Amino acid sequence: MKNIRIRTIILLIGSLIVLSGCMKDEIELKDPQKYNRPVKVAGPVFNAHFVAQDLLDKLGDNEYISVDKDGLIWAKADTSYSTVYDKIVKYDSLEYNKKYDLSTLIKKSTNKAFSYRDTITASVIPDQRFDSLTMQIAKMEITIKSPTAVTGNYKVTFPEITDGSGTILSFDGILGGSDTQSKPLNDGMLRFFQDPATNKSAFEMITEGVATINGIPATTELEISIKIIDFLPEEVWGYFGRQNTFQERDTMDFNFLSEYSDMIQFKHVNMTLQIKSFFGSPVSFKIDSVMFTNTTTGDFVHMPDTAIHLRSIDYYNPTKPSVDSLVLDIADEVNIAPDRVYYSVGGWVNYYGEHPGQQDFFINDGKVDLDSKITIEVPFWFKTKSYRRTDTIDFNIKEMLDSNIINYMNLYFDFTNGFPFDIYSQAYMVDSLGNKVDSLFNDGVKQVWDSPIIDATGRAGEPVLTEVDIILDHDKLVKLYEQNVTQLFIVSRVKTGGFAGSQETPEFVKLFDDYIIDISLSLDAGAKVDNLN
Amino acid sequence: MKKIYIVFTIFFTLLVSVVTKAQDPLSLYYLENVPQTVSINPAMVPRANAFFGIPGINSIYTSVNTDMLGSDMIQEYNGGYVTLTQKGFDYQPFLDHIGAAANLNSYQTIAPIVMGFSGKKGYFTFSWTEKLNESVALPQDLFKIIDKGFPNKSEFDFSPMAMNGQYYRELSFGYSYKFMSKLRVGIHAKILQGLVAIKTDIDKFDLNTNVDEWTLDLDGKIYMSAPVDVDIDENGIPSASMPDTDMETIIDKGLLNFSNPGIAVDFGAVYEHNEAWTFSGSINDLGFINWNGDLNTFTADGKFVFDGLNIDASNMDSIDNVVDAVLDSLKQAVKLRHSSEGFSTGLGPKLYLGALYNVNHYLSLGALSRTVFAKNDFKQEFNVSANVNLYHVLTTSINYTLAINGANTFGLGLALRGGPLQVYVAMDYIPHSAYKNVVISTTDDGGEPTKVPYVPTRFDNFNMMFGVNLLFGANGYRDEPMVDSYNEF
Repeated sequence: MKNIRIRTIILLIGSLIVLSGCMKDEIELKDPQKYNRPVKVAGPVFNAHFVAQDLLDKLGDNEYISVDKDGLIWAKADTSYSTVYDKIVKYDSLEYNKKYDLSTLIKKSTNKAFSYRDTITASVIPDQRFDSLTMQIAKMEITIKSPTAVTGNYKVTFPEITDGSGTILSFDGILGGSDTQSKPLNDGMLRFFQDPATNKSAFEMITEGVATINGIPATTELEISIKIIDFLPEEVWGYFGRQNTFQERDTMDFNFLSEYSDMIQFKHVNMTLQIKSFFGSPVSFKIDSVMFTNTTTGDFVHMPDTAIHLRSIDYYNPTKPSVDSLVLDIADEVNIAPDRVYYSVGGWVNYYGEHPGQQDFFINDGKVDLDSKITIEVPFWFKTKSYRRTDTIDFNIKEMLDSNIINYMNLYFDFTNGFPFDIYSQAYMVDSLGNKVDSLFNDGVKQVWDSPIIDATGRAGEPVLTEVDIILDHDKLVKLYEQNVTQLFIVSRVKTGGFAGSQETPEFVKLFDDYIIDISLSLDAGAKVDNLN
Repeated sequence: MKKIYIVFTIFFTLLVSVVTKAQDPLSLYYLENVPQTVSINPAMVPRANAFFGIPGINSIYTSVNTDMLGSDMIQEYNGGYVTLTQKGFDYQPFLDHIGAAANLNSYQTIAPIVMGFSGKKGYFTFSWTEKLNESVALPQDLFKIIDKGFPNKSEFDFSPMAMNGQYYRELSFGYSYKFMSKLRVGIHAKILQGLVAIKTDIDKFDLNTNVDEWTLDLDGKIYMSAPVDVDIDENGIPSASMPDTDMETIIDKGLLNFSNPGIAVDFGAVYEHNEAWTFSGSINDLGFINWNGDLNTFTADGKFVFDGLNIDASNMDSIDNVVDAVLDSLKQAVKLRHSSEGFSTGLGPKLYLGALYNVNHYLSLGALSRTVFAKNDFKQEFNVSANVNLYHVLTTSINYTLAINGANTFGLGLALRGGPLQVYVAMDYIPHSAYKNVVISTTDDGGEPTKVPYVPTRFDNFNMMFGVNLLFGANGYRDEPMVDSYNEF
């Protein structure tokens, strides 16, 4: 009985194990690593928000873009030229050397007087005349060398130079050997005279004295060296001559405008010449040989020469520059959408020569510059019916969808247009050879993103929302897939004016920096299980 | 014979459907001469005057418990076979099986020291055990995404998501005492030393998907007690990273980390009704750990509405920046914050109830129930076993476990002794149903198909303990005769 009981228990346990466990036949799992369930995804994708200036920055180099106080966007390019006073007022060397042979004058006499007069030229530029020069800081240094066999004394006098106390500058000394002296000229003055021989500004040096030659020295020369050191002028008066301070042949590229080719007509294209001077002379800024060109079309337009002439600054208000500008609206003349300007620009002092009684001056107060600038500005106040833009986006559908194709894809666009123009667009799906396979919107129907209402001043009103649903059904997706679509070719055209049926709609519209474009995309897509490979 | 039928009827009546968490192997319970049975029922005593576990290898335990693989992962479809990622796979059995969340739990323990000896009146035991538990719960709706994607007007509830884990040290002092002639009671007093813990508490984690917007509603906390570097940005948003570790840190945060104390007790009883029937029961791991050191609490409570990537001139050239902005907005919207809140974790009390019928002196039949209590939940397992006890040499248990909403399969326990040296192994939930010769082919690369000779059809639980002990005076213990001296009844 006990054996039967044990056997029964073992049988029961064994049966339990056998019944609960089994080995199934050989099976095959195909591509378990691939996910091909027919899932669906619905959700928002992106909200793109751009203001006008953002888009213009993307179109061109943002150094060309500026916004005025009203928010109107301008395209702007400029170039500057400047010069400093050092190039206008030039002194001859501030050193002078002279040797006199005492033997011819004195021979073997004793205590014989001698006297020499020398004219020292100060100006360099031919028709530049200095009348006076006051020195903020300066020092005259003089060295007289004479043979040791010569005895006596000397006196060197500069009648046109006075020191800070008004005393005429002179030096006294004993002959025989080398004697060096210096005297300060701080706050001193130098009154030039016009040397008839050279027609240059000059001052005089008088050397005189009494000398005795003892014995027969090897040399009887008296050598005088003078130099003005630590020289810092304070004021210079005179006439500084008719000078061309700079003259350059230059170009200004204006690539931003070339983006628009000849498809946009601007209301204004301004060329501004500006000049700011701290010179105590009449100055001029002259631009000539101006030629606007469109490097794409080869068109060019010549502009007449233009100049601005400025008077000298006021001596009694030297910190206030003399300024002037000239604005030329060249929109009508320059209607070729130029992207490059050739021109020659020059800066002048005393362009018209010397007037009677004219006194040029230079005050050394740190503001001694002449600045000039050429600016070309285009306010985005324009009209167009034919501005056309194309963009290409990689859209390799086989790479995007791998081997599982989307069963359907519904794209929901919300397009809010705050710009003052209608935008017509179409996106073509093309293969790698550029052949059109299909279009995003219905063939032959360009999608229009409507403009806001434009008021009489050319400003756009409330942005307009356009909703577009794009249904890509399975057949269309299969077509794109099988024909190897690799790119989206997007064509956009912009048209201003004539919309909204308003009679008051201006011909030209303005582009303000607060205009916006919002694009929202959401999608509802479902995967199809079938493998198209 | 009738008695046996009654026993099996009782147990089979109790067997319903399944799911269990891995704990100490049930196969260990009736391996009477393996000292580690003490860890399940503190009233039990090994049949040796003293024992000493070989340090480090006396009770190595590993367990994996999941309900993710508890339903057929390979299904027949259109004459072929498909799996989770493929069209035709029916998710409903899988979703029904996992319930609100799919769980993946693992447990590892290792005991540097285990020892015990018989005293004058009772049996003393001591163990030092390192315990590591991790559990991850993946909400059912997460798998709905794999199944259906994110269709328009869908609602997902991810609030069952959880990630919990703790690594702690347990010093257990046990005493088993024969209270009456037929009743033996025992207790374990445990000192716990928490080392690292993570605990999630998610009240709300909803995602609604519509074509125009997705809405995420989140309310939850992550508690951590771990050496984590936390940076707070200017908006108060925290981010965490693992610090560089050196030996000093490992010692400070490991061996010498006493900032997370805990206590626990086990109670057990064994009642020998007569020579044939023995009843036993225990309730274990009544206790908790208070976590106070290296506290990092991450809180999120808010709603985030996603209506698309926001692109403007500042970021249109970098999709990374656009995505980063979304993540920053998400963190802001859900009010992600950092604090340092103490918390406590339980050990998951377990109730064991067993009955053993001694057929003769070397064969016994056992029945065992285990109930594991968790927060607002419990898991139930039933086990029947046939146990052969050739005490000098061999002890073995062949058993079968049925877990409610879980596995139903067999287990095995085996202990061999030669002299004082004892080697044992116990394992539950041995996979017994499998596909044989599974051929995995790929059409892309055209390579040779991969052949797998054996793939379990289902896999819920698996646990195994093994170790090596030294038994001293293993022919009986002082206050009871050896089994060999029993008269056969």
